[in-house]
Amino acid sequence: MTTNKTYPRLTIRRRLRRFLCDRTFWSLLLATGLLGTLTGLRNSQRQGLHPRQYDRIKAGWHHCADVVLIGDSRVMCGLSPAAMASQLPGLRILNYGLAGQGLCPEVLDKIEQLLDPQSQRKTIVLGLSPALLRGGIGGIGGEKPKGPQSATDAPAHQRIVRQWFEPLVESLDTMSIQQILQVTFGRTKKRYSLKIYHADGWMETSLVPENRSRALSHYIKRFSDIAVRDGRLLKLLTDRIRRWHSRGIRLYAFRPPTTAKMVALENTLGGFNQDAAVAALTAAGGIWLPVDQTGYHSYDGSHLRYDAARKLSADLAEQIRRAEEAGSR
Amino acid sequence: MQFNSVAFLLFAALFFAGWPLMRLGRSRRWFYLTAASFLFYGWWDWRFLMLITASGLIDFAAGLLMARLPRLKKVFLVASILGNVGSLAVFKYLDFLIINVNAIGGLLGGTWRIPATELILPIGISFYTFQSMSYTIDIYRGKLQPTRNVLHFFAYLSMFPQLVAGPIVRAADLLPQLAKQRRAGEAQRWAGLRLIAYGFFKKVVVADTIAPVVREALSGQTPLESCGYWWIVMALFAYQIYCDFSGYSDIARGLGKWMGYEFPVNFNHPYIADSFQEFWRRWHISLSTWFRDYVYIPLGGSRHGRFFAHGNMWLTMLISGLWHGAAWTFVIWAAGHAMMLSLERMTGWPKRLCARPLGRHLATLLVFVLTTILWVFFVSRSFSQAVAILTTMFNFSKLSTGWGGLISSKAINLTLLMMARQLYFHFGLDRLRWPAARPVARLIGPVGLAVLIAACVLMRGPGSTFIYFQF
Repeated sequence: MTTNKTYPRLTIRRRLRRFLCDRTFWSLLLATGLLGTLTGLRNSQRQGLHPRQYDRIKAGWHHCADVVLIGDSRVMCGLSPAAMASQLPGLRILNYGLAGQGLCPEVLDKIEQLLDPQSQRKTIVLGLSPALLRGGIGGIGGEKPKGPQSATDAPAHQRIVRQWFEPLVESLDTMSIQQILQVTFGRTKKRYSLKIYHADGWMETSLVPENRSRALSHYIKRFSDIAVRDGRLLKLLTDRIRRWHSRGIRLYAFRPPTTAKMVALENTLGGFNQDAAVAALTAAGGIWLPVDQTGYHSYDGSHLRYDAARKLSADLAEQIRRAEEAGSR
Repeated sequence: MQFNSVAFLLFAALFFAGWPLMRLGRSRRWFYLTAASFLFYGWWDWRFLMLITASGLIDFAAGLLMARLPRLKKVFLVASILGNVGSLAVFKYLDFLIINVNAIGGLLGGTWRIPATELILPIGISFYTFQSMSYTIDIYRGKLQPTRNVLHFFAYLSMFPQLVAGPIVRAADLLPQLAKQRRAGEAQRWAGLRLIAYGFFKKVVVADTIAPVVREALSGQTPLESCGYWWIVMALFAYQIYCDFSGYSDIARGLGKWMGYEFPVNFNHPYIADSFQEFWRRWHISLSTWFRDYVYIPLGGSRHGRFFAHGNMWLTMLISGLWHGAAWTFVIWAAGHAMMLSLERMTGWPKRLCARPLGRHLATLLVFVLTTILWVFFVSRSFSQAVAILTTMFNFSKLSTGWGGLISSKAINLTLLMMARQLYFHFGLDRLRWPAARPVARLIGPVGLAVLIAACVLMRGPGSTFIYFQF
């Protein structure tokens, strides 16, 4: 058997000296200081909510809205409930757009649960982008629905640790080199993407410099793989619209505007047949809102810039208000 | 728990806070190590603990019985190997076998189907079963005395830093270290922190930034028809898997150093290898040497002539392929490497090429390109996907069509950074004498490492699990 070593006792002075010469200690101390400074500076300049807080708020919505805006990232970035409120006063509007969202029964159930059962004007506004009908995430036969999860799948001990340390993780959010330079030296960034998360579900976005064909390659790849499965997903949607209609829930649908190139791509490679979709939705009781497909500014060929998003929101709200007024007459 | 999680940071802080006190007493140390390791492993799913405990107890008992009844030691060795291989066979390979039996049945016109068991694969099972087997095999060979303390054995088997993804540490190396009361000195702690920080950088900054690009590329049913795109994606994957796996090994070694223990080097700049033989001496060294010592040499190695040497090497490589995953793509990946190794042995091309001017650089480049091509089988979800990707890679008429925006510039920049670091070693710049002992260097070191730690936190990619956990 091996014998244990014995170490000589150190005096306090020698211990202190040894401690002060410890490179591990100094590295960890410097790293903590550096992290604290950078994140402190960044967090003091942050606009809007933290992304995780935004996700948590969205996941927590339940029976709390009169109007729910649904769709994929084009709705999430393209519709501001605050901008709609001016045309639809007194209504609680929430944006439940989710990036990469597809249609599936679970998602449609969740949307229904967002509406306040006591509301007299239960309304769903659907941004029917072709990618929504493509299947994939949340689609029939696709992956599990994506979206703000409350992390209930994780075991309890993991959830508890996550909850305790959520504020720490949020404060240590990632930064790009440009961001670090900006918060450190106040240097204005030449290239950046703006993302401001609002409590009503809107994500205010922009890109500098703009690249209006950036999203095209992603969509070419996606549509090459799976084109729009209008038939199956449209049926799922129209069946649900009929049910909503019978329960007094109004459904307005529109095609989120983007660039001319993207519209052409979606209609050809994507296989999206807008006329057929409109006919099916209106037959089921939905109301189609025509939107100028290229009349709003997109910064990346897919999503709308924040000012265009506000304009679209106001325009849509006005159309909804007129439709409601016409309906009540 | 994963190294790149808040839970682990908390766990490590608590563990190392208690370690200076707990390491002093032998039983206390072994208990503390075992309890902490079980907490670490059970954090994923407490049911995993039952398997490692059962598997460990079989090997612990087999070791003791081999010492007590030397005449029957072969029986106990076989029992130990059957226990370990059996658990691997059930949890890792049973569904693979069922799928193949069903497929053969279908080909022969059978209408029956055996239902898949869909058992959860315990994380790191391939690593700890191999580690456990090395214990009993070494006792059988007379290279190791069995430990009589079950806590001592489990402290070795379940040692948390390297439990789930290596390096695979031999009992003969670690058990004597565990028996001693070891204190990490300043230099060892500093070396440990460097390994941990650099390991985290490789994992959370480099590998996790590349991961979404590779995931997106492989997500479709039909690959994007662009030759240039796939060459870049595969080069990125080559560095993703290297940084992911070697990052884990570095963190494990660093944590070991903080405890006062030394784990073997697992990766030694594999992409600067100028031959496939050299590559396997630099890639996942602990596994390669395990297969060499416990499979290749017992099969006969190169003792029975060239033909058998090739056969033994092929068999060892194919088993190694299956170790990586229960799929034919892994077997084909391993067969590709075996073919390259055979070609090297037969022609001796790396030596000949290296003898020419610039030959070593060319050989290194060639080995990297061939390795990258073979990674296609490793990363693909099916054989048909691998073939489709390879077809696209060699369709040079579509060199650069339609992939703008699909590959993030950050992923490319980080890969280039890692390539530059490999070149630093390739050109032997690490052998130059740097004034490491000067006071300025002592000051720069902690500052540089602090920046690296901050980069790990602030520039981390989207979190994902370690690739080798699935093995």
